[in-house]
Amino acid sequence: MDIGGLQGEEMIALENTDTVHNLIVCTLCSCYPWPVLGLPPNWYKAPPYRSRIVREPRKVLAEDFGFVVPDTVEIRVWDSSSELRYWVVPKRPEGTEGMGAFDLAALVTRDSMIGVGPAAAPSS
Amino acid sequence: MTAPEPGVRPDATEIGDARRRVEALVCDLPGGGIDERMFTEPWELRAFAMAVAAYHTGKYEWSEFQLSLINSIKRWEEGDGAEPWSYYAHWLDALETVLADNGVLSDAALDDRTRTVLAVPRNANHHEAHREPVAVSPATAS
Repeated sequence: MDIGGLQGEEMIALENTDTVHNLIVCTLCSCYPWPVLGLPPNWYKAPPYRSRIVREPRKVLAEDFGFVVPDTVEIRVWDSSSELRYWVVPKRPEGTEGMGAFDLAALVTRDSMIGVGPAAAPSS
Repeated sequence: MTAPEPGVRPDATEIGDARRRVEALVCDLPGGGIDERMFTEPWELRAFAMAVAAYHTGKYEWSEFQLSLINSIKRWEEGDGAEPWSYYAHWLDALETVLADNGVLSDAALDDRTRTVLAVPRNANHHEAHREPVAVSPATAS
């Protein structure tokens, strides 16, 4: 996708599926894929998110982000470090079968690429 | 203490068993409301749990530990009051004493380990890539 640059020398995209939901955190500080997502939001850098999301990811997503991950889906939490940053490819929303890459890109939010929310629903 | 999040993989190791035993013990005790917190710092709970776990694995007799705790408190009471009161500081002192007396963990080994831990910064491995998830909350239904 031709993405890279400062603070994004090595990055891995994690694809969400029907059975696996990925989300990212930096447990130590605030490592974040700058070239893809810009600078991180304040809550990403805050101790409550950084510690709780590791201990009880399902609960934090539901309570703090209003994002309920179905209990049929495994949640994987990935720790970004200065060497390797992650970002999330959200699941394709329903009702987007006819849409192309350009229109789909508009549905991809920052939060969905951190893994704390779904991609936006098509407005049609 | 809260119960583990539903769906988190149970830790099937000996340490997992020890943790569950202490958890059951603490959770079944009376009291413990917000005003009567049994532990004010996380390290106090860890010190408590280690003492119970070491007893369960036969490292010492409970009476030895009690005696050691009483002695540690007595030394504080007979002192000049320079040290602030901390029940779990005595608890930890008692634990270290009985472990050393029983040849489980020598003072020298404990000092070595303490120095190592203090010398390693928290971000010691932060320049390395972490290629596995740090946590997994498995699906509980299919």
